[in-house]
Amino acid sequence: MTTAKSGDRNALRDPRVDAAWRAASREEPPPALDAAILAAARREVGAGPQSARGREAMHASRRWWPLAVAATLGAITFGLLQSVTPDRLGAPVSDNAIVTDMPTPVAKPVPEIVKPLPPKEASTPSDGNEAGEGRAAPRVDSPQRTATAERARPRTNAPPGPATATKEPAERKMESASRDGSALPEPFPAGSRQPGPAAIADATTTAAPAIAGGIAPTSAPAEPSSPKTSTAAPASERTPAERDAVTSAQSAAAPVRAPSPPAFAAAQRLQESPAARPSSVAKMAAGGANEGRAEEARVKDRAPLPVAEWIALIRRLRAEGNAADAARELAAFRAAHIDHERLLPPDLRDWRPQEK
Amino acid sequence: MPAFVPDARDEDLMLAYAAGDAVAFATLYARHKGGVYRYVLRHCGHAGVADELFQDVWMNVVRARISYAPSAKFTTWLYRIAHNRLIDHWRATGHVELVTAGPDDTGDDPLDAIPGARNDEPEVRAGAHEISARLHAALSALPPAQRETFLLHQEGGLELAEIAAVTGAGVETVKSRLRYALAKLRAELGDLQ
Repeated sequence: MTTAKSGDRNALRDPRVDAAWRAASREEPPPALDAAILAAARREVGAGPQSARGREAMHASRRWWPLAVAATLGAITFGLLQSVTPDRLGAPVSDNAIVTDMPTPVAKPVPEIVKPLPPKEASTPSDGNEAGEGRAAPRVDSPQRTATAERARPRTNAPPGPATATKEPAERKMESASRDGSALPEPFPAGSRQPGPAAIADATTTAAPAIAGGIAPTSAPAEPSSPKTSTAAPASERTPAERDAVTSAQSAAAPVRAPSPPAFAAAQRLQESPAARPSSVAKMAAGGANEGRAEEARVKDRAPLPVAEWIALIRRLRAEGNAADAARELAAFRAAHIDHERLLPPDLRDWRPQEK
Repeated sequence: MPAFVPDARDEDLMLAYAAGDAVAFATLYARHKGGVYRYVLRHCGHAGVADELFQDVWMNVVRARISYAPSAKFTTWLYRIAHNRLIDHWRATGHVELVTAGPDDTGDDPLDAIPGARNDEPEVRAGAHEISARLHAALSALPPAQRETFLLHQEGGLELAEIAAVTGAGVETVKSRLRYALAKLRAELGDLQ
């Protein structure tokens, strides 16, 4: 069968005819027709794949859009978080710690603008105050501050007052917080809650005696033996200008946020302090005749004085014959300064109100 | 874009073109444009009509690329398109239908009644190159069915079965037509030795 097929194939092939046909039949389509057909063929298929590639390229480019949007939103969110809540992020804490490496400026709330809380809540702000003071203190565990806390402890524990039980763990918390330097609320976050220039100046002026004399703010309320001595005496003995500055700074911070726990606690400490309460009660009992004197004492109670000025004030009061005020100032001085024996001149060191 | 080897199969090239590869179509076109063009030209005998028909054939190839399936040789599919286009042309111009189905070559093929092209006229035959002219004249003198069979066999390189598939005739019919065509052409060229 294969032989027959090949025979048929050979019978259907004539070499002469094939050669003559190949020699005679060489017509080709015109080049213009070739170009037209090839162009049409390219156009027919070119639209499909090219458009598909274009769609793919467009799709690939669009694939980056969500990532770009997410990155942009992330950057915006990060920026907002950085600018709005720096205290929570803890970025400016080190700066604040460096600036506020002083014991006094923390307890600056003005008593007039802080309402007293019920006694039930009094202990909590007190703890917060302690933490807040620890917060205002430098994050770095400076030896001086540690020594100050160590010196303040026995004075704090000395009176068996009701606040002692609540302040002792608070002090421990403060010490541990100052040791690890973290997890403490920021009393004045950078920016909106920074104290005003007057307050900073106040802090600067009080820094020298504080460093020199080792003022321990926590030791002030722990002086129940001198009822006339205000707990916040160093913080309350301010000039009216300083008070205005502090008040304006706090009022500026008020719309942004409610009073921070440390400031609130400082005010609470002022209100609930066993040292401050008898003083104010005594002043109330003094009557109208002592109105001016009580007002003067209240003013004096609000701002601490430098050691030299304080001593000068005591001497002046004593020289004026105002022995009671001189004794009160002397007691406040002793309460504020642990090493008052070293700071006081000999005449005041040995002077007692009874001598008068 | 894939690079095609020169001896790639026609079917693969057509599939590649169906997938969007224009180069594959260019390769196919370069391979078969001459055969298809001569097939059409020998049938219609007029270059202008041949150009139009030739373009239609290839545009049909382009349009039919989506439905192309390599169930047969590409040349079979290509020449079937050309054959159908010629039939349409004959029908449109009022020629006798190019019926390929019919009795085997018994001498009474109705296609033999179809007149040949102008090339078979004596004046045309005398003015052309001798061999080429006489060959073309002899081809033109062939009945359309025999001429088509010869052209499909000679230009398209189709086998008998493939010619039968293109024309719709039986293999034996194709065989007879081809035998008759070769005999006539051989007789025409015999005296040129």
